[in-house]
Amino acid sequence: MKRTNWKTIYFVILLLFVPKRAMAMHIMEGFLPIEWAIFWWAVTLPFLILGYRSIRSKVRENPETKMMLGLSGAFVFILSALKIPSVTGSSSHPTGVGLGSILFGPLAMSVVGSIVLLFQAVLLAHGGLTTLGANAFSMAVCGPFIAYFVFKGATKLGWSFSFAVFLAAAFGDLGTYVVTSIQLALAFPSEVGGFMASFSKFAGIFALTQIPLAISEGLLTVVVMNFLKKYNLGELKLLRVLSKEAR
Amino acid sequence: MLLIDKYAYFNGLKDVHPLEKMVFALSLMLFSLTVRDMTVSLITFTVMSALIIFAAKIPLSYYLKLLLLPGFFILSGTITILISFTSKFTSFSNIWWSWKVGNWQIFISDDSIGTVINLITVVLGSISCLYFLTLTTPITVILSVMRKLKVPSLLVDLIELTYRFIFIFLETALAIHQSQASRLGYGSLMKGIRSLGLLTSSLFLGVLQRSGHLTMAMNARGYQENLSYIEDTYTYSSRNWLIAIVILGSLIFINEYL
Repeated sequence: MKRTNWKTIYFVILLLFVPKRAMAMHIMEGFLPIEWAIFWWAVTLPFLILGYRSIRSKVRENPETKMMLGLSGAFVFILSALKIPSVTGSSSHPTGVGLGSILFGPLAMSVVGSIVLLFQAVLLAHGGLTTLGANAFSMAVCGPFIAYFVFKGATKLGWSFSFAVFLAAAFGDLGTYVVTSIQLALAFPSEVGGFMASFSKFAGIFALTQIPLAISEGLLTVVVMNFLKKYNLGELKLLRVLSKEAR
Repeated sequence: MLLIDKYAYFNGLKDVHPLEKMVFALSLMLFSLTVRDMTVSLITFTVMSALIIFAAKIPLSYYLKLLLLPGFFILSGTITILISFTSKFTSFSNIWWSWKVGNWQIFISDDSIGTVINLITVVLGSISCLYFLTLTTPITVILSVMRKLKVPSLLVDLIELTYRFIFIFLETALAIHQSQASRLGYGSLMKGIRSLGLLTSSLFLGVLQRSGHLTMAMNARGYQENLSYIEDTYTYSSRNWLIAIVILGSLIFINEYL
């Protein structure tokens, strides 16, 4: 009985808030003023360099990692191209951020995520080149780090593996959108109320449509991680090359 | 879905040197983003669209569809900029429309209308530059230019590997998805999440296995540190450079003097 109630509530929330085409994920080409585009590139670059360095040293130790990371990039791209199921027939894609950073670690994920964003801009016309810095900061840097720290924190608190994975994926997904809203609000502050007023408007539109999707992505990531743990333990151990936190 | 990639390989401008196309598209994009002028953006949009449709011979209907893709983002992004809230006691001089609800008033000011119109034209201008680049130049060719520009080879290799495998995994994923869907695997939300979870994890297993096989195959061929590819040869054309310089030059002139 309790289970059905929970499902009904979720169903209603989804029906209420998910628009027909929630493609609002990445900031499109030309939307950000050039100063902000450059600023976000500058903020993202250190993470990319750190991530690149960590990947380079791992590849030197173990050449297989290069293939694995390249293929994982393709994997994350496919995840983002597949539609997350939802009742309204609307669709939005999972960011794949939580899964990626739990499996590969946040630094490697910042490079892989940026590559995925590049392809989304070039192959799917989703996002842009000048706004790639801003999009990479929200989806490939903030999302993974939030997911990673939430996962670590939840594990440290002794919460169950599934719950930790759920929280990590859901918060990583939500965090990405909050950061996107901050970026948009900084670039386009309201005439009255400035940044805060503008932020609440953007966050209102983006985060509200995103909450049910974040829950969906959290559930999906739990299902995936449990399947992986059950059947592919050997392969997961291979991943320890990439990140110590995979289990 | 990846029709955009097919056109990149087969279009009217496929034999033009990639560096020429990249320099042209990116410099126009950066210029229209820097000046943020309506006229400049509209001219950029017109020129780029004309090149895409007449020179690259991309079907008009497909190009229009591409332009509609970012529609939702434009809509949600500009509506939030357009509409502002304030308490009902504040009054402004330049209000175009307002509506009082309780203690609040919702309003649209003249300034925000200006911002939004400007924003939409700038977006159109720069997005047409992006489309010009992606519809006329395949990724592999862009990557070979990046290699020549001394972008770190590990990064280019990662991008290249990602690109190659996107299509293989996509095919697998779509086949799994189709067979799941035909067995009502996406009949309800919970089933959908379970099915997608199965799909993702078996795809992930495939990724791991393939990367092992790929390493083995590469080692058998004497793989050391970098991947090497055979590259196509392109020739520079002074006519194309001249066209690019004339277009950019006249845009700068228009921006300065008109």
